[in-house]
Amino acid sequence: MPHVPTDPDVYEVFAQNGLGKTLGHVGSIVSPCPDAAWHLAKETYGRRDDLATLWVVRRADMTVSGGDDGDLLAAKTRMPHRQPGFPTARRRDRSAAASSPAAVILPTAAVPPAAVAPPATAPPATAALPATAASPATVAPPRFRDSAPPERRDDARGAGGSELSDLWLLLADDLFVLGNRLGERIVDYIDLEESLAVGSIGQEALAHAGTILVLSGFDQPAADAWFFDRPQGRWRVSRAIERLTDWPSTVACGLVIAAAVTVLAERTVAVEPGEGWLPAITAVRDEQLVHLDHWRRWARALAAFPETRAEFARAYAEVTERAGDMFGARPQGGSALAVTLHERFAALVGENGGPGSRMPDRPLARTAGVGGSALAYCLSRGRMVRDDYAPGVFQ
Amino acid sequence: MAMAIAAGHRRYELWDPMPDEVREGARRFATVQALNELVGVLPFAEWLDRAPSHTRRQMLMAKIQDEVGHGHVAARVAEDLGMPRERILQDYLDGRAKVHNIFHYSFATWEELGPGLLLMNSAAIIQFQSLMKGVYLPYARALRKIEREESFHYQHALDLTHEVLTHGDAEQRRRVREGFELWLPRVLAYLGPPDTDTLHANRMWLIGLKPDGNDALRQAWLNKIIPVFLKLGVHVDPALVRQAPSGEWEFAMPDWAEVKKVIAGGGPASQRRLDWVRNALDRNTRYRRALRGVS
Amino acid sequence: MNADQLTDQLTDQLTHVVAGVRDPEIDIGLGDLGVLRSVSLTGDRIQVHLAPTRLGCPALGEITRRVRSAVADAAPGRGIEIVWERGAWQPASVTAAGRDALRDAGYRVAGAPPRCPYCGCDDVARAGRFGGAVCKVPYDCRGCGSPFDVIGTAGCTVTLHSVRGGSR
Repeated sequence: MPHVPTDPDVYEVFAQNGLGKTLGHVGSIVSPCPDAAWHLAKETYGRRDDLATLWVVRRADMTVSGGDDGDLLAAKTRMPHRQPGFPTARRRDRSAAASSPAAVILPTAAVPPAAVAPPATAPPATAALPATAASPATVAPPRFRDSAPPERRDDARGAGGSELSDLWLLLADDLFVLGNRLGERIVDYIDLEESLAVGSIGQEALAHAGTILVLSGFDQPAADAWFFDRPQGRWRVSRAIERLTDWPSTVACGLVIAAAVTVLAERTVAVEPGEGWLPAITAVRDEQLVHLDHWRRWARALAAFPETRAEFARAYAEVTERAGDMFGARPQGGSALAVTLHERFAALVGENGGPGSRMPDRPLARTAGVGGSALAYCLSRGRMVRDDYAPGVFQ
Repeated sequence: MAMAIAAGHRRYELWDPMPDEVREGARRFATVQALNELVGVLPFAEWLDRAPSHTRRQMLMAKIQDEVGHGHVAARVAEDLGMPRERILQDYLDGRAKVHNIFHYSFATWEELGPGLLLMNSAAIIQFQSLMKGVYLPYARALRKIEREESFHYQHALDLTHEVLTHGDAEQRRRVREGFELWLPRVLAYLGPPDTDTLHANRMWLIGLKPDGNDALRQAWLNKIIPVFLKLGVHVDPALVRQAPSGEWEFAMPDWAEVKKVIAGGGPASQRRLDWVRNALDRNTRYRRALRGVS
Repeated sequence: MNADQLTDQLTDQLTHVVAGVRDPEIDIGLGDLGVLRSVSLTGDRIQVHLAPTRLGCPALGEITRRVRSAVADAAPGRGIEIVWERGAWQPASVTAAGRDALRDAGYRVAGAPPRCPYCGCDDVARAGRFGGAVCKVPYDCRGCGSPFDVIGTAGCTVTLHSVRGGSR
């Protein structure tokens, strides 16, 4: 149902990047008062470009569509490629295929383009899936393609195979946003060697996000649609992403994400050894261990240095507190697998990040709509050029 | 491994006794390169978060990082010759060092980026191919590697331009041509003022650190890059550049007074670049200190 | 020659062709670099298996294009499939000839104590933990003053101190 939201401190930001460009929604911010909101919006969204127009509107002053308004909103004339339901629809098709014994035997890397249904075949009915927080949980995500015999796969499912796949897709989102942010940091010139470090880690975070999608059965256009065309409301990043702001918080975010990916990779390798995708997941783990080591050094340096000690302690506390949802794929949270992974994760973060972690004892569920201005900025910037071209151009 | 070295010159390794002029000249070349690699990525970094696909973003990020990596290499060479690396950006902020004219501009559109990158990149390759014949060997070796890696970015630029020309609409293709026309004079100027008559009195040429003159490099560059644009189907206005029957390229001479003004800080993005670097260094000072103070 | 022999002969020929395709960044063939894993021929279909040196290698698109074009030239009219085996490359995948080619180009391969590729000196210092590309780690030779890179270090020699115990 269309309704009036109740978040009093949330403001929606509309900006025009130059005369002749369209005025569009670029994201949202949290601010205690309207004046400060405008200036914060200017800081957040006008950082790189001169703006021609900037409008800031309190969310509580708007009437917005709700999660069940998909039918009211669905247009039948748009290209399927741009439909928010498209990747999800494909994912559902894939997971259905994966559970049929005839369709399982496909070696990982050998993903012939023909094996992936082209966008045009997405059934029209699924294109009208409501673009809301609630829907992802109702759609079964794909399992990694594997070459295991069916009984082996069933074992894996019993051990949480499908939940692992869920978790990988969520971490791919976190890695994508982190990778982009680190790429911007190359020109932060903290130190010449640090520029190369954030560039390498950023590139690998993006590559790992892409690798996860390939393993999950996405081809290149589907992966791009997943990362670039999915509305913000359908992302379920960790709340840690909200703190992907200043350098100490970026260090803490880098650390928790590297730790989470490492833990999940270790678990995946242990659960299904010898599968076709094992080398890729092993490589992800090895590369993330290098990242983790890098962030560990930074955490130690910032915590030990008098000028940065308090600042880092605060950032580390805030990020670890929010990172409790890293393994909260399921709305109810707390599956046995999630608890196991979370415990290992919390320990690894403590070992590497040092004392002061506020990681919750148990995993928290991930929710849609978080990620704050860090996610909003990443997504809105990512669409600027892309939206000027016909669907399917960039592959 | 064939390495042509400027004829008739002695070559030097790091620990060899070397005339002060060679040491200082090599240090200056490496320092100038390091600064330009570091600041020269800013026009591209501004577009990183708008790169429109996963692959394109990875490639652009790799390009930016690789250029910074080249800055790192050049800074290490300069450091060995007595230039502390912290001073590279500081001298730029203090006005003691300038970046090339091409880095005083920004890309206004995504479509402009491909032809701009192609022109800049191919000119840089020509520069490196010349400088790597210089007499200071550690730098010459570094440049030989850098030049090879640049050819990968060149492929990327070609692919990027081709993508827009193939899939863009008429307006977007027009912006590619305009980008070419906008950047061609800038890159012509980047290769330096005419020096055919003065080269043989240039100290850097005499000591073997500048093996080729600006005019020769400009001709070599046009010879290579103009056919590339023609093959891409980009209209090349003969008023801007044309090949004489002799094979020599004729081009609209850059306004050197304007170029000088731009390099001195009068370009459209000059202040923006300085501000970016100053803000970045300022806001990260304590983190840099933390890194040094502990590890 | 029977059909099998012809297939073998063409497979060998195509393997040779793909092995000779140059890496976009370094002057070395894909065979010597260890990026080429295998070429196989089934009916009219050619399958080329490649391994990137790192998951984040930005050159996959360019390498794919070059391999496709080389194979299409050598065996026109057949279907070509490029399969990227992610995570399969190791420093040990580089051939002896590849090590020489890399040395000549100013690179060393991880796995042995690095020596300067130019003067052979073992007085070298790592110039950072990350290089200009994800597959490289920068070094400086203290003997001749030349910067060089080691390929494949990070991730291959990482100490696993931070991962104690298993994940089960």
